[in-house]
Amino acid sequence: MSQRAAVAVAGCLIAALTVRCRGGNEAAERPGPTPAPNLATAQKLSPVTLPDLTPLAEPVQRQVRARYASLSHLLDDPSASAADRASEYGALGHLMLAAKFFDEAAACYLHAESLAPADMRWPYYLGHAYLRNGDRARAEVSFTRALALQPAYVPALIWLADTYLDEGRTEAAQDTFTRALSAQPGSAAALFGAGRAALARQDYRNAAQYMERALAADPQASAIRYPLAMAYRAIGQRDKAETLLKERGASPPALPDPVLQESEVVLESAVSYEDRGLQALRSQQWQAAADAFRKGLEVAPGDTSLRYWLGTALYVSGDPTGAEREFQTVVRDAPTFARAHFSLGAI
Amino acid sequence: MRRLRGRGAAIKLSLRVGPAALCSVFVLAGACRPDQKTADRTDRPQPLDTHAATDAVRAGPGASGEWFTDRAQEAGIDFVHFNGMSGKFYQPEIMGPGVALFDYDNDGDLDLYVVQGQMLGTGQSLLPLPAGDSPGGRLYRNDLEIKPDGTRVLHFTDVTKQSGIVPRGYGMGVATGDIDNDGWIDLYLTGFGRNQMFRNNGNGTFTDVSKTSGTDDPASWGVSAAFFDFDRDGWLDLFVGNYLNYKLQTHIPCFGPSGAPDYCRPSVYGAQPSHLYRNTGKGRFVDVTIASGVAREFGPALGVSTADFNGDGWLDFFVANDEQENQLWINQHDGTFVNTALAAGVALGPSGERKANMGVDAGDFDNDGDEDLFVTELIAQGSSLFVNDGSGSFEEASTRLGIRHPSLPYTGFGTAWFDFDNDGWLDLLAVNGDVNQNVKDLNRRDDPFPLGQRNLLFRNVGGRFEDVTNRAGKIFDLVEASRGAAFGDIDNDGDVDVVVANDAGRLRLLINNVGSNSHWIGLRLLGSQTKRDMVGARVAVMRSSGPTLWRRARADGSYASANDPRVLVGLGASTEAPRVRVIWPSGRAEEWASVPVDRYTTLVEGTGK
Repeated sequence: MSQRAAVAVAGCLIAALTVRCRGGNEAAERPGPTPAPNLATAQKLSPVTLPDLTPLAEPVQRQVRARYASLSHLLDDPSASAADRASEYGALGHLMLAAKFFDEAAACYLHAESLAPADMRWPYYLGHAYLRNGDRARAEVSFTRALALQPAYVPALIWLADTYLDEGRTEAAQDTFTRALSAQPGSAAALFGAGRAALARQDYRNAAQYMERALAADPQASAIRYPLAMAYRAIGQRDKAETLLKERGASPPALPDPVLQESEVVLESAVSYEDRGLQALRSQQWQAAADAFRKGLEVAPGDTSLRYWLGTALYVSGDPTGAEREFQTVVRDAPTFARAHFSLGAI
Repeated sequence: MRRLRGRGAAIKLSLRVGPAALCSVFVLAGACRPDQKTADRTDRPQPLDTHAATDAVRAGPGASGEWFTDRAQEAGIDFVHFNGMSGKFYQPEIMGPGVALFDYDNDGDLDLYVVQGQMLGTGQSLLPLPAGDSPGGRLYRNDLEIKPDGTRVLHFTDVTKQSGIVPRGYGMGVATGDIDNDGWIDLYLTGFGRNQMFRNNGNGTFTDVSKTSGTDDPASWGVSAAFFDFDRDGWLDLFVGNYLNYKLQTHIPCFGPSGAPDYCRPSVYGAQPSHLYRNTGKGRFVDVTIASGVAREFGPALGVSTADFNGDGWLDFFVANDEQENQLWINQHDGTFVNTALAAGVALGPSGERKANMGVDAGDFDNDGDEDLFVTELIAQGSSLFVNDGSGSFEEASTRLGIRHPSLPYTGFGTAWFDFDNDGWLDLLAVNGDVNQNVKDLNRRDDPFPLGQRNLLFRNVGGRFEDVTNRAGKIFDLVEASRGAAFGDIDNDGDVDVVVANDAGRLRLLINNVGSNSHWIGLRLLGSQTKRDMVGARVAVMRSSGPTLWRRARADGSYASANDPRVLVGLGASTEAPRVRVIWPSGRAEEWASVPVDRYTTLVEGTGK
């Protein structure tokens, strides 16, 4: 990294406290050896800059700045490999993505991809950044690039197929869901997707078949039942439809996605820890849930919601005394928190 | 319609269940399964794609080639909505306002009522109170002048002070209907904290009859309401859609994942039951919510549309609920209703997902003789298009028919089926505005309410839709937090204009410059005894060339708003005076052999054949 760029990044860290900061110029921000030509490098790379962070919670601001400083430090280290630099860009991208700074996240992933063009993770994350930003065209291109590097990665196939389906390209969606099924025949998410594509094409019999298989593959995926009922209704099997409607639910099929999971950093905010804890609760991982709520309370000690959930996690993990203590604190701090009163009363 | 989970929401704890069974008592969205894929799918607005149009829509003379032009200010409408925001993110500040088009003085043109907010809580407002504006909604009288050469001079006069309409509370929406069959259209105002009924005295003034009418609901949060004669007794009944159990005193702060404060999702508060009132005569209502069966199921209601959805001749109604299943209440002909939304295919999204349903309208967009449904939704969900098979059973076809993809970047509110180019096919307008703050937009210090989005115009091309927003005029470039929208022929030139009510923004008067280039018939449908607009009446326009066009008289639909009750039917290039069949709400059917084109005709029940 040139001295000029280093100064720019350092200045950025200070200026980012109050105003949007433009980073070093493009050449300075693109470290490492020249990557192999691909779409990321063919298009102009934007410098990675920090947005105005002031609307964010203070711990999140600190977290983002620390990650940005770490990136700057690494870029300044001539011994750092391109892969290391890509990872550091990616780590900042993950934070930006979690904080919903989608443009900045995309810029980070583009840099990462240019540094490590053979790593499918970067175009895959980039696709998610674009998708969340509402840019489906670029998301499609990015997912396609990721799939060129890892053709059988089922979650990428499903996300790509879903973007096709959103656009009304039902044949392309069907083909892509079929590719996913070739790679993983028992994927409930792929079967459900193929069923939805068939439903959109008014191919009700195939829709019913795919969705039946999806439900068999993942019986807890209760959201399948409603569209499956619609398929049965359309082919005149109203009894089946009625039964399914009574059993409808809101859980979509599971889509295990280790790559995306890797990107899910926990922002240092009460909401983020609460999300993490609630996910653990849903998965019946009581201890992990309690840990997440405790970490959240370290960030926001006065947060009654987190404390309420901590009480809940403690109760279900077999610690009613601990739960009662937390609920007592909640009703003392927030006397109108009705559910805490209810839970306390229940105990 | 929220993305944010409220803090302090929602788990039930029971000592009777062990950990393994706890899933069943979670009341979290998504229950016991990670909902990662869905939760990740949030989007921001993006510029619309430019779609090539299939053929030209001709611009009217003097219209600078624009299909719609905002003429609010030059017509004397200076209304600016005040939402009372103080930085505390109170829920009501993102939900209003609605607007109504109705001819309150029976002079033959549409007047306008727009709902106003007020300060919420005791904080300091982040927005200036509109200069010179007294609290409460505004009634504008339409003083349309049509010159001998056909030129129209549009002017509205603020007649609020002399009207006697004094709203109490924070205004949300408005419904219109003649509750006492005296030939003068009355006004029902929904609000956060209080709903009010105003009887039109027939002399330019209104009287608050909330209590005596039996429709007073002093602790409610009503949004959309609809008048319809569900029991065929000749008197307009009333459905009032209520939203959340919410009070400022128990407001729960909500935050985004990065810790920025924001508005909550509706599940944080829970739904407030809606009400169905039966008009027992002369504008006195009794609450039949329980007796009718409507109390059995309810959600956070935001939109309502009344129509005969199953073709049995009786009026049904659809309720759009925010992040909960919709209801389709089918009339049982005995004063009761049964919710068939699930079996009918209109309760949920095509993947079985609960959508944030907001505005709604029913109309026969495919000209097959039944009422289809269009529902506006949250950003990244895509608007819903439910196609009726004629029996009250629907297929969600938004993807197949070109609606879903263009609507994904937007959060929609007011909407209607309306044939803006008078080609005989019902088009769509959805007015949009976000409900969650985008963390990037928080940097826009000059805008304390950064929820603006563009509105969307879809043109119906033989039953499929193309996004023609980019060609509709400069007014469609605006980025505003639009909520209510009322549709009607404001300048009586034979095409449908639109009033758009913006949250914390100006009222827009979108005058249609293209529809009157095609031929049309306009119908006012009046009762035999009552001389009131017979909302709910269905009209079949039969032509020797082209399919029969089915339309209906209605004032409801959209979001928190009330439309022109007249029926305007586009005929394209045809000058043939069509045969018209009317099916009145009573079930009686009559025909008129030849209805003149390019003018309004009043059809009175009992005078046809």
